[in-house]
Amino acid sequence: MGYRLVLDNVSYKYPGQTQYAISDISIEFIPGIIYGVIGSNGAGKTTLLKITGLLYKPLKGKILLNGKDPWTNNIEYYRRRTVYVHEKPIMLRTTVYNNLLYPLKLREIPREEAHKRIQSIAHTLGLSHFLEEKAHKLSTGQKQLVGIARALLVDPDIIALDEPFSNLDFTKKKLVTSLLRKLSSKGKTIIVSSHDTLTIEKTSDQLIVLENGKIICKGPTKETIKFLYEGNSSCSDN
Amino acid sequence: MSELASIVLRSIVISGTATILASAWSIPLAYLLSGSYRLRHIAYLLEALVGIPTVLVGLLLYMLLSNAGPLGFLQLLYTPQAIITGEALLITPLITAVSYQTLKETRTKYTELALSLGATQQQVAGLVISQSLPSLLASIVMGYSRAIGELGVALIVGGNIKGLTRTITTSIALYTAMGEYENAIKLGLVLVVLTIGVSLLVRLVKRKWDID
Repeated sequence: MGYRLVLDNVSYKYPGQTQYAISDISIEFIPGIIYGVIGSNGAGKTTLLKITGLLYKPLKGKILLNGKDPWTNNIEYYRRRTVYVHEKPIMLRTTVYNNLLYPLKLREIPREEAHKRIQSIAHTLGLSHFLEEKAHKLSTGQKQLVGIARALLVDPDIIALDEPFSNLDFTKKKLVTSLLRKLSSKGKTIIVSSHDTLTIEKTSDQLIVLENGKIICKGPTKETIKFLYEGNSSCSDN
Repeated sequence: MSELASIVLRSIVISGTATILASAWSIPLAYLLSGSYRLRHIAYLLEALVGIPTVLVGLLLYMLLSNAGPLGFLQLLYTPQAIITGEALLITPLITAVSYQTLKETRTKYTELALSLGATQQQVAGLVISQSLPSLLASIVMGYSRAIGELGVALIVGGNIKGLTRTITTSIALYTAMGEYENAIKLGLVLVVLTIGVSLLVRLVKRKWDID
């Protein structure tokens, strides 16, 4: 069973800031659907993703996972079901293999099983040749793939990916998109932010458009993009 | 063992013990400070105390440990333990301040990563410490170098007693005062070798760590 994620009037502002990064966001993320989040710089995409990834606690409003507030019900348990991938993934100062092993070690996955999972995801994302390389010396695109692989290895129920395509070439974008599609069909809740409307159109089923920390439009991706480009059609749900 | 060799060995043991002690409380303190916005003023204070004169630490400790002082009953004055305590206190601000800067940066970088991958608070701390190890090691070496090269504490609370509290620096001061420049220079060279040697060793460890 997947996790139904609900944000109920969620607002968040960073310490020391006067303005809210996102305010009064209400949305329901249903398992098996890929959600795209777009918006200009500073629109609140990263903040929204970090809230869904359980890194930030909402200052106002509530977040619910299958009806339960993770922040008052064992946050560590829910964090094990959720992953957030940074736009510029931070690499541990060790090999790619050890970077991939890290989240599995946290969950005390037996070494043999961990090895199998690493080999499998490395093969899928074309990382097999880099496993013994120093991760912090990889190119930005390769780091991004390692970041995605590292997050997906633990079989999370909620996957929040911040600009996962920004440094990937066309082939890798296709690879990641098809992997996300596969995970979505298994009932995972997937949220992806991007600047690139073309890629987000190919990847997501539903699209959320943010501006100044508020949702200005949300709905099926194709219609929402049409609304954005043509302006004369109405946003299906805002 | 010759007099000079025993002085060198004693200095290494005293300063090494002081460094271990100071690291044992300075690094956890730095970790605590690096995670709290409210406690940052303590870190600033410790930064300001990095260059505290050794004679001042020696004098304060002397007043505490002398027979008339509040800790006089411990009978620690003019013992190696008194020097160890003094040197540990002397280098605490240095190790804490340098570790604080390192841990603050590493913490910002790795806390979110660890949490985003499902780490518990203890696992986050483990990751932050492990990723900071080379820099923490450097801060410990800086502390050790300051401890082995200081004179004020060793002289005031150690008393420069032959065979008991005489260290490299107090010996250099004594030999110079007595006009025995050859011995003073020999010990001075040993001091330089010890300081540079440890620093090189750490550099090697850091390089190895970076490769692995």
